[in-house]
Amino acid sequence: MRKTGPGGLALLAALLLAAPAATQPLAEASAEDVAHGKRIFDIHCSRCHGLDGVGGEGPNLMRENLRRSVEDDALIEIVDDGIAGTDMPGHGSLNTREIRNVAAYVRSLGVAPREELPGDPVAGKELYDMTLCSTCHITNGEGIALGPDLSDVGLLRGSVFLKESIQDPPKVVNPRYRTVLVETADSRTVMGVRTGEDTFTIQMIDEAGRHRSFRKSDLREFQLLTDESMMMSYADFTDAELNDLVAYLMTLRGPEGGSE
Amino acid sequence: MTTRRLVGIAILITLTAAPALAQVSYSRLLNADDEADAWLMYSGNYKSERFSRLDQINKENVSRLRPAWIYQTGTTGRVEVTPLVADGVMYIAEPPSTIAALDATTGRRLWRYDPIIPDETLNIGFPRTNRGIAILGDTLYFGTLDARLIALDRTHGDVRWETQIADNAVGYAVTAAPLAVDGKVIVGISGGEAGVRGFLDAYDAETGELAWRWWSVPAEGEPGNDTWGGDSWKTGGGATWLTGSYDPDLGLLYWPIGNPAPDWNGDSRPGDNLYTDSLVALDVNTGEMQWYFQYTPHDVHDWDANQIPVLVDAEWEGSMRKLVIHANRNAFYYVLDRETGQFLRATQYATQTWAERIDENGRPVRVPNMEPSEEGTLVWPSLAGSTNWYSPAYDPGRMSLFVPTREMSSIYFKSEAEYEPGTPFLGGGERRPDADETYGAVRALDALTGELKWEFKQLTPAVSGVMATAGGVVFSGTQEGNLFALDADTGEALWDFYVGGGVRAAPMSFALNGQQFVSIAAGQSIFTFALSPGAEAGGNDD
Repeated sequence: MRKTGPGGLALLAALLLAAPAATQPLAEASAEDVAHGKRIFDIHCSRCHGLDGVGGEGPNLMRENLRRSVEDDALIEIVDDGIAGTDMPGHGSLNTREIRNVAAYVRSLGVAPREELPGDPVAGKELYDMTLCSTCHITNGEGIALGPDLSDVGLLRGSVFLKESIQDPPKVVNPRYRTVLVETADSRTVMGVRTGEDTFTIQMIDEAGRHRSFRKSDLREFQLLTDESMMMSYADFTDAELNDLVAYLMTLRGPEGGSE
Repeated sequence: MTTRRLVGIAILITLTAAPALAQVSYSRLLNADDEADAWLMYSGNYKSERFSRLDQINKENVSRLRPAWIYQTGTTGRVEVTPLVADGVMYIAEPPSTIAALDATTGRRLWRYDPIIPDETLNIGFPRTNRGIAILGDTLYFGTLDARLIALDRTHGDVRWETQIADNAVGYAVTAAPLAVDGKVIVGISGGEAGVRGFLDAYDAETGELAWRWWSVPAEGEPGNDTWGGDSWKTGGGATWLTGSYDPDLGLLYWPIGNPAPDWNGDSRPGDNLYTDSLVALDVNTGEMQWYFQYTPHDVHDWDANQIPVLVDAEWEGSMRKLVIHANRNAFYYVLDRETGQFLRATQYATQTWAERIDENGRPVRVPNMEPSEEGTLVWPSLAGSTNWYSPAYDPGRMSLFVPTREMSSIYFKSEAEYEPGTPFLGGGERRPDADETYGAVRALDALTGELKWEFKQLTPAVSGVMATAGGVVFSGTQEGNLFALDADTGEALWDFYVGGGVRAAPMSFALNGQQFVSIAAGQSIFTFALSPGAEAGGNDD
């Protein structure tokens, strides 16, 4: 073992002193700590996970089993460091106690009653098939991958967010699926989903599903669309249809979740 | 006489006649501008211009720049080093603190020295990397993540001496390139985010003995200590984590000082918190401070001053002045008199919402309510600032400073800060706002006025340093992995190459046998470029 300097001893001592609190299960955190965690959650987490953790752009947390956080330590680590390769950021601005209390609050959400959805998932599935959603989305391996895979969208997104996505797609579109419009030097217009970009080049999947790559300096025009999206808007759905479709999408919970 | 004896004598003669490599004397360092083929210190010269006097690669032919060789470190960390080149050998640092010597012609490795950094070594607030080396005589000097300073013989990488400069267990580390001066090695420390108390050290280049130490946060009884509350100075930060500049005529070092700790909660440290976020001028022989200038008093946004100060001699209001110029993280560009520290000018060069103006003494007049808060406060620039440690470049002919710039805001949060040795001491942080408003740029500023001459926009905020050359070309990179060349007069992009790894380092240039090379670290590799043979033949096949 490496020799420990005075600072190392201090650290060790601090860890030992902190031990009882650190090993206490999050589920047994005091009401005061959970309330503190909720205050921080509302500021830092609710933007994606929704108020009360109902989900939004980020997963619904009102679930007994969080896939990546069965153990308390894993949950604390996710709040602290984020999840690489996802939109979940780390929270370096929070101190150890704040992170722990946020995690304790998230645990407390697991015992909250499940969100009641008004729609009929069976009717929603019919609507999904009729609307040909699978021409742009993969669900459980079926469909075309122009837009996001929806196989576990019921875990990853909240119902309010899904409703908004269907009615007004550009408003909530994931930056990974931004729509891009280019005009080439010979006046051809190409629209597609951006799959890559740097200062000098852009890559996309065009409407025919082909990979395209352009040098920006070769283009007559190039723009990222903010008020338009490759996904059609389905604003003309009735409330009942929308509720049905969302109810169906919320059943999509990946292989282990099963779609009822 | 036997053959064996003859060989023995021959070896003896070789050994006694001359060392294998020429000495990089202090006078070579002083006259680095006259030795354009080499790159002898982190920023190219003591003025920190990062300006290559080579002009073979120029505006007309830079489009024919092609890879000459690529060296793969084989590590997984970030390579952020500016290589040195002396006498045909390139010296680089690999993450976390390994030094390698490469044949500069081919990129083939000659030797590698790994000081063995224990896994548990702390890096609080910075990556596990090393940004550069100093050379003096036949010795290389570099710092380690676990806060050692090591001197290596540059022929084979053998250790001459090693000294522990501080305790990593409380957060001290070395990532910056040391600066070699006459007989001394100056080295700064990282660790401000762990609440260390900053200092700058000078070591005897021969023996490794400490020559002097200057504390960046004054102790009780010292001038400036009254700008801290209670014992807050003991954990006050003020790290010295970027290489400074040197004026040999004045005998002064110019060193930029880091942020106060805890970063985003200033409640425990009422006052200006000297000498954090300052530029200090230190006597190179004694370490005594001659003057200081504080850019951001009582900083609560982590806008440290660890950006490269560039020394410029120019006419200022009718007479020649010795100036130091500095594009600061806080979005203002500053011109100071480097003999006295007198404030001469500040000009905003990037978007900011925190200061109404800089007053006639150089002190910011603050916009109210821009401090971090529990609910979050939106402020420009972001935590990483309008620029950062990424080197700017100064073209003395054009009198332009090329600044890697970040256009980005942050939502700043404040939280409790409790000091615990060897852990982050932050008191808050940032959340990034939606990505669309952010972008990066290389901005060319008029050195005297700070006014914008041109900008070259990048997709995302700058993370790479810049180099300018006598060929009228400005080089930099992007975090997406583009290396590019711009026209120094217009900012027009003349060439780019996708290196496939984020460029988080600054370019440098050297020449061998009449051929100019440009090198840069990106991803986990070192990329070296030269003009393709077509250009060498003077062909005009555009």
